[in-house]
Amino acid sequence: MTLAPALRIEHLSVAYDDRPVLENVNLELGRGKLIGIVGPNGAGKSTLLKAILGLTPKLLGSIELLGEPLRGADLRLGYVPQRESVDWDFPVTVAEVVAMGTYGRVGWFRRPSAAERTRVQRALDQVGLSEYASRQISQLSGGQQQRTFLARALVQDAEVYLLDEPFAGIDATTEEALIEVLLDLRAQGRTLVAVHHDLGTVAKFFDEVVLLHRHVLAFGPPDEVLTPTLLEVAYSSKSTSRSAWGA
Amino acid sequence: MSPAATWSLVIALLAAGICSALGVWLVLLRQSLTGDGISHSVLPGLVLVFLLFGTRANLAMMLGAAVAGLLTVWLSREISRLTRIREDASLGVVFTIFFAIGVILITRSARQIDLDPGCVLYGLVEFVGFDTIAWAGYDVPRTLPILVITGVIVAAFLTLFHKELALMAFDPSLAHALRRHPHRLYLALMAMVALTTVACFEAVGSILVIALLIAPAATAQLLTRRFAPMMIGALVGGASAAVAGYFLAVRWNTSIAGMIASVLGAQYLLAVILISLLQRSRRSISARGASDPVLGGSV
Amino acid sequence: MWTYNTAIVLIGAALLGAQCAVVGTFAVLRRRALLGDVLAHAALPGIVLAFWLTGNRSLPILLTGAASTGLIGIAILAYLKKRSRTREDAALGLVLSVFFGIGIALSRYVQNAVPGGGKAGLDTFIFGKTAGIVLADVLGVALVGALSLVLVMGTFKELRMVSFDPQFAATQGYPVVFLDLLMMGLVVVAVVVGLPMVGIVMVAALTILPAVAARFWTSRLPVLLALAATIGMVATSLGALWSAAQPGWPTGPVMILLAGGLFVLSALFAPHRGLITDLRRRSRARAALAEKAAEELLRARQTVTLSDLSRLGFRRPRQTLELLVSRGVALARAGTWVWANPPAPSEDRS
Repeated sequence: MTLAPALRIEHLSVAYDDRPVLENVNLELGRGKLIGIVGPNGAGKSTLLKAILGLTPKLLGSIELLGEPLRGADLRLGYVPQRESVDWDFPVTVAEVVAMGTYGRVGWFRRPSAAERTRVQRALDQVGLSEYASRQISQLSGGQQQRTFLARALVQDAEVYLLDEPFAGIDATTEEALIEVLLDLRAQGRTLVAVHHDLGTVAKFFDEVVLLHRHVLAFGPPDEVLTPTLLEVAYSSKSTSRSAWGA
Repeated sequence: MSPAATWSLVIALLAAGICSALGVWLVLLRQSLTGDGISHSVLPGLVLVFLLFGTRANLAMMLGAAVAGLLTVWLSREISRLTRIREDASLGVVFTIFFAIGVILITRSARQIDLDPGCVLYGLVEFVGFDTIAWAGYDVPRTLPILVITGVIVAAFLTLFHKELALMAFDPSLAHALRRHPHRLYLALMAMVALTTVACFEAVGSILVIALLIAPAATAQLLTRRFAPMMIGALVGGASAAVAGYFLAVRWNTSIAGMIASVLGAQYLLAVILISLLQRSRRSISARGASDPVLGGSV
Repeated sequence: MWTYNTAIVLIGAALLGAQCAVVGTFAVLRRRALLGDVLAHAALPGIVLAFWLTGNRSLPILLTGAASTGLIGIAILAYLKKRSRTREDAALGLVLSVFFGIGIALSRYVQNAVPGGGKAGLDTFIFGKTAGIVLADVLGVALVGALSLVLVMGTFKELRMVSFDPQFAATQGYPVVFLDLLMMGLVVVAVVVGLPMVGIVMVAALTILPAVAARFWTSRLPVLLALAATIGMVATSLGALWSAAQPGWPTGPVMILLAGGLFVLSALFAPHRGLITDLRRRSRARAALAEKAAEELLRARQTVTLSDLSRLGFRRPRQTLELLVSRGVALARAGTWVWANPPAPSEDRS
């Protein structure tokens, strides 16, 4: 008996208003893999993550998580949004942001237990932010902010992680910490799916790559996906992306 | 102080406490003007309850007003979701129309209703001590039980849902992923704002409600980047403004609501000045370290 | 009902409606729809101060006072935006409530302290009194309106740039701060002129509703401005006529209801951007996507059932499949649908 894939996406279509953003996306993402999603701007990379999370309603298609149909949000799905998507002036400390990762487990009306707080501390250690634990988040550098999000993802303790551009605009220390954490999670059999913008570093980071441009153009090991022919198809076909909008 | 005067102060303090605490979340969510919208649009709710059921019973009118307030929030969200109108514009559209309907209803039924739109705006803190009922064996202002109950509800809501509110305000998409239902929580918070607006405005007037929702939180936000100090600062600011505003109003023989709002403005102004002085001195210290001491501070 | 007085009121109301709509359009585009509301409230203390300082109750003096505190409100908004961590929504709410509170405190003080202070006619300004309009007022509105129009036309290019994309405008060297101030100044002038006629909330509504309603019909700025002005004029003049004919109907709120009605009509029925065409277009696009998806599914699996499609979230699986049958792409066979193996792969039909 083989294990069900981490995520099985069948015939997924998503539209904003009358404009299709994703069409007929079929993917089977295996467990314990580090998977990158690449594609030009507006290819629907973030939308794919949001559709899996149920943040964006899907028009058609079904999504299975670890062999079970996914309905709405699921605690076995972890999410690391883009860094710019939140207000870094918000009055919370680094430790409080990390602790937010436990809120799904902790439940309503309760505070995180001592065990959860230890977990938060360990996650902060792992990303090298323990001395910043009680700082307010606006005092962090961009890389430290990204590591805060990473620590939060760690305490979420999910089976499948969805990360939106985790490598964007970070320093070398953070990149190192990020890769270390991702590899660590993969070693534990978890699956990591990350939207990535830099084609040059794809082969360095990921086991498998999805080349996305409204459809899945290719999926497989980086050297098979990132061929000149396929990239040409993905990055030069501007005409298809906006056809419905102009109508 | 006469008993009536003491009651005015107590009522003002209660309203200040409830509004300032709730306002912290409105300001953090960047939804300050929702308080403005809600406080205008409760008017038709009040009038309709009165016209339909012929009652001035507190609970029924409060319910009608709160429903109108919540309807405003929900409608303006739906309008901007379904069309391309931005949320500030759809809020403006909805609450002005609601307010117009309210005024028309009042004027058309002038003989049956003695709701003065003016008193909706300024409130009647001065007179709360003269309009009393028996409550738990004591003679208390009619608005006191309402405010106390509202205060308990709001305090319970903010305490019980603190961590979910923080998650929703900071990162709504994670809140969704963790099944914390950010949209419903947002509407629940707005229901609290509607309830508070309605409970307070008969006592202190809608303008003071708006000022108390926004000003203490905005002032505290200037002074700290941490949540607990911001909440405490807002509560202290709101309460001290209520006391100072009350006594200044008595001294100058003017409107208590107006004076409290003025003091709130003065507090904010002080905070702005304080912060800019601090920044200037910090900048000149760092400039002195680097360059000519005379020219350093001239920027 | 066509008396001299009605004509005066009508002209004044129409001019006010047009002026508020034009300046409001820029505010709405700049994502400051509630600016008119804020500045109308901020004008109140100015009215009281003007009366207190001069002891004069004539309209030009009171409105000069109103405009002054309105302008102070703008200066504060601009300063806070540039220099403080307070967000724009809180800054707007602060100016609105604090200025209005000061206005109330001042007015009560004057009323109690100054012999014969009365209320400085404050209620007139909060709720408005259209019927009291005289020829001089209309001339005033016309003058101010013409001045505003000249300013808008003179800086049209710049205002357009700043209201659509302030960041880009700044990089292009446009004086964004100055243009912002100008835009807000125009709003102050418009609402101050409108205060005695329709009152605070109603004059705020006049800066929002026509602009938002007009937005459903066009995305070209000159057309948008003309349309908003027209909607504003129709609402205000019909409102004035209505309450002239039917005493006992408050003018301002009737105008707002009319403008609100025009908003609802526009939101529902405008071609292209109205809700009904929009929803219809969305559902058409969805149906087309569903048809395409079903075709690909059928080609991949060769045979599908209704439950396959329902599981994938198709809303009308039977209709979609029947559409494929009618196109000769699928064949219906006892509860299942099979790929008809059409000779040529169906090319892009668009």
